[in-house]
Amino acid sequence: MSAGEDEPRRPCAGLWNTPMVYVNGEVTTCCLDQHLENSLGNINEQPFTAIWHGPTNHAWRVAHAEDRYQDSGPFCARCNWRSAGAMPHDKVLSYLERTGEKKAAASYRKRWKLKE
Amino acid sequence: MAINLNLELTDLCNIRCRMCGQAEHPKVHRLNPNSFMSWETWKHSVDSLAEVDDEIDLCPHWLGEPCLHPEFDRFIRYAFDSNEDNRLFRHFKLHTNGTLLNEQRIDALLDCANRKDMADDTFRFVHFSVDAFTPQMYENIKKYDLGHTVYKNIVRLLERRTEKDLRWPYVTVAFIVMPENQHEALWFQSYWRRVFEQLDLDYEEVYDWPQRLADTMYFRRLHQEDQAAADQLHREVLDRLDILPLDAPGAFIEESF
Repeated sequence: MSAGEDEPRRPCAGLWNTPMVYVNGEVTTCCLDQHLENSLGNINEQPFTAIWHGPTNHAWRVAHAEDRYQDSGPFCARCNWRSAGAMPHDKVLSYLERTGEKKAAASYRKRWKLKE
Repeated sequence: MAINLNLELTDLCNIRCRMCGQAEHPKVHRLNPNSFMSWETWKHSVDSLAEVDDEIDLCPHWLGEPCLHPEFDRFIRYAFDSNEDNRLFRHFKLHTNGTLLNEQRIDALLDCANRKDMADDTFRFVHFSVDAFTPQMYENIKKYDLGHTVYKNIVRLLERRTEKDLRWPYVTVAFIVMPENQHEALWFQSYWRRVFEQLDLDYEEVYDWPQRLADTMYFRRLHQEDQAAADQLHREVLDRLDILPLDAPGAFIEESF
């Protein structure tokens, strides 16, 4: 569910679900990032998986989960975020656990008051 | 959750929607001149999906109109020809303004939907950005007098799909609610209800990203800087259309696109 006016910001589903590939093969994280500020690489030069699941996007996903949006992609820092969808809590947690980010998972549970 | 892989066949468009980022700047991405995706980039991208573990939903667009690509039909056919047993992508989703369909292209798309070498629901939907009922409003919103053409093309796709006894792709007719067009929402609803009912089709009327298990009328909220104002107008219109459980938990689940 995306937010009401006062709801705290939540991790954006775009970082997981919506790779956008520009005409020339450049990949970014979100349809709103029209100027490719969050560019992750070019699909002509690297396999898609290496780009989408690479260290840069992983670090941005963790930053979103830890409420450090200023440490995510340059576009994320300025996004009004209410336009895009939030990543469901269970999917954020399963991603953090699958990738070994135990500390981030624990702090996420605590911030959103989620059970183990 | 599937990954929606959006491959932008072109950043060009043949209309100029007032609410669309594509129309804001001649070089929409402020990078290179407007252009078309090369065959090499498309083929490489599609072929590389064989190495991806995630479930992929392939969407051949971003900001431009995909059907403008001079090799649109060849590109789409290649993707489906390469997707035996859904080895590359689970679903295919086409977003279009509907201005560039014709009888031949409609049948080519339905042939892709009717393949027996992949799951029946592979070609999941065609999403039409319509946003107006009267031709005058269409031209006001989109700067081109193509409203009649769009309505004719969508109806024809629905008719041909029915004639071929196909269930897929589902059709979404979308209406972004704006101050300019909000008074036409009721007419839009009445018209498409009549079309769906005349063809004896199940359909839904939704206010959020459709789940797309039926043909759909999608009254969409505008995305803008002042999101609260857009949301307020959206809710008022939905109330008039008697669609929205306004206070229902889970309203606006837009992560599901």
